[in-house]
Order: sequence, then C-alpha cells, then structure tokens
Amino acid sequence: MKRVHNLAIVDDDDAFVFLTKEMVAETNMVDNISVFKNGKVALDFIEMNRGNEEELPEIILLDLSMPVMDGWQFLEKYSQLDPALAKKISIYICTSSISPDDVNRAKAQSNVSNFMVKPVTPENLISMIRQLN
Amino acid sequence: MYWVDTTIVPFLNEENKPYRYVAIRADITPRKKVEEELVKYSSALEYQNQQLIDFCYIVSHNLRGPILNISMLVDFIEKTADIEKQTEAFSKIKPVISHLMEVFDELVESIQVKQDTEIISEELDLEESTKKVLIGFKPLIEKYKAEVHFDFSESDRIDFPRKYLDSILTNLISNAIKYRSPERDPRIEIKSKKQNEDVLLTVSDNGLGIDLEMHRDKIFKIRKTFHEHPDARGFGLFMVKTQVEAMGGSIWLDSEPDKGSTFYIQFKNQEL
Repeated sequence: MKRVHNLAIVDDDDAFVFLTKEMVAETNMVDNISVFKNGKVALDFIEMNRGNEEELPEIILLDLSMPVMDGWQFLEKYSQLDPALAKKISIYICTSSISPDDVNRAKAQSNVSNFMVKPVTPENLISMIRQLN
Repeated sequence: MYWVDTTIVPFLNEENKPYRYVAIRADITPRKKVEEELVKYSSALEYQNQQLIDFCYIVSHNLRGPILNISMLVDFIEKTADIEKQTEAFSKIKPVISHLMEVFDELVESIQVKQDTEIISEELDLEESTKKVLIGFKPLIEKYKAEVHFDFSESDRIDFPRKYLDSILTNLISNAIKYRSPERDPRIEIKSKKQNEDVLLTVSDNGLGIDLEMHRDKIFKIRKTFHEHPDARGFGLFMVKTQVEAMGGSIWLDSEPDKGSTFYIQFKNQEL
C-alpha cells in the first residue's frame, strides 16, 4: 500500500492536534505530519510551495473555527490556488460542529473530499488514507 | 385619541356628481391596540428565536469541542502504555477544562444579561462616565502614548443601566488600545450625537482595523478573534452587543485594515 508522504493538520486546538498526531503515527502509514494553527499560516505555506511536490501535503485535515482565517475562508482562497499546485491535495473538514448549516455548506464545496464530525477515530483516519490510494 | 374605520359611499346625480353620501364609522381602537401588541410580541419572539439559534450555535461550536477533547484525552490515557505519553496527555486536560469553564462562565454571564429585563436604567452623564472609565486605563494610555479625545457637546446624557454603559466603554476603549497599530501612537475619539429620539455614540480608533470582507458576520460572535493577540478572547464585543441589544439598541462598525475602526452604538428612545 502506498504511504502518505505529508499530512497537514490545520487546527488551533492543542488537544485535538496532540491526539490526532498520535493516531496518525499509530497507523504507520504517514511519513510526515505538519501542523498549522490557522488557515492563513497553512495557505501561506501552500502558496510558497505551490510548485514543490515534495513539501505539499496529500491530505489536509481542516478545522472550521479558527482565529485570523477560518476553515471556510481557507477553502475560498485555496480554490483560487488549486489549479496551480504541483500535487492533488485531499481536504477533509474536521469539525466539532454538529450544526446542519455547516454540513450543508461543506457539501457544497467542490474541493472538499469529506466532512468529518469530531471525534476523529483511528478507523476514520485509516479509511481516509486508503481512499487516497 | 381613538382609531376609526370609515367607509364612505357617495350617491351620484345625473352629472355623476355626488349629492349625498353615507358614512359608516366604527371605533376600532381595541383592535388597533391588539395589533400593536401583536407587532411587539412578534418582534420579541423573533429576538428570542435568534437568541435560541445563537445559543445552539454556541453549544455546537464552543462546548462540544472541549468536551470531546476531555473524553478523547482520557480514552488515550487509558489505552496507552507509554508513561511519557500518558503524562503529556494528562497535562493537556487541565487547559481544556479551564477553557470549558471560561466559555461556560461567559455563557452564563450573557444569559444573565438577556434575562435581566428588570435592570434599572438611570440618567447617565456620558462625559462623566467616560472620564471614570478612562481612569482605569491611565497606565495603559501612558504606556502606549495613547491620545483620547471626547466630545459629548451634542448629546451628553443617556438613560441606560450604568453597569452596561461602563462595560461598553471599557470594552471598546480596551480594544482600541489592545489592537493598536505598531506603526503609530493610538488615537481614540469618542463622540455622541442626537438622532431623533435616539443617541448615537461613536468610538473610533486608528488601530489595526478588522477585515470586514472576511469577518463581517463574526465580529460580535462569542469566541471569535481577528488578530493574533495573546489576550484576545472573543468575549468583549459579544458581551457589548448582548448588553446593547438587551436594551433595544443596536451596534455596528466601520473598519479598514491598517486604518482603524469606528464602532457605532445606538441607544434607543433617549428623550431626556
């Protein structure tokens, strides 16, 4: 099975980041995990590495509620960037929100692969990585 | 004064000119009263409903997350055999609990405002209230060389709960200083003017400003912050809006990134 080279977590929640990093490491299917604490930092990184296949993540776990630039705003800016990227990135929204508004809004986004309501479990992660291959 | 519903039927002669008429008049004052009541009732219901939607949003976005975190951290500690990882996970529980308690206290505080419909308004002197609030900011004003100007010559009095006015002024002044531009000394202008029966208070600064295109719908929401500042909690503006609206008023803003912000607060029915 193909390994995931880079997985990025875009989330400002320290406990979630810790737990998810542990879970991802446990799957033994991912080489590098990077963490961005809001949409802006992640977007800047992707923009800077737009042509750099080695650095770009294959998977982004995206939180919705973050300071400075939230998940929705990230998606909006990302869609303008998408065609210029050296790598296809799968974006998974991970949110603790159970609001139907958020689910519907996420479904309307063409560049979102899936919508996961937290808690994210090891099973979620493994099936997500499998889907990628 | 009373309300009348009138129907007039003219009788026309051969030249199509009215030569007499019948007027039927009915006193509909009671019906009008009921209608007025209904309008009031329906806008109160609309307000309550919005509050409920906001509350559900807060439960979904601000309470569910930390509760999940605690439960997941405890699960992790139970499952892992690695003592170091256990200790690390354990150390992450406390901040989540204090975060949860903070959000919870904020919610309680805001609900208290919404339910405190009996709060007493009194005649307040805007200049005196502002000066009093500014005393608390003296050290910060000196530290950051802030200039504060105020002008209440057009309208210097409002009828409002003292506690709320103090909170509104404190939060807005504190924000103006907290989110000052690193490139210039902060300058804050506080003014008031009369608008029919209402009083409009404006608080302007030359600070960082907020990107309204990006954040317009979140400005007054709980736990929303727009700058990376260690003391940004996302509670001040939420509380200010709650207090202003509880008294029937409204709040909005103009803002431009790197230029500054102006907050407008409309105090309703200020015929003093």
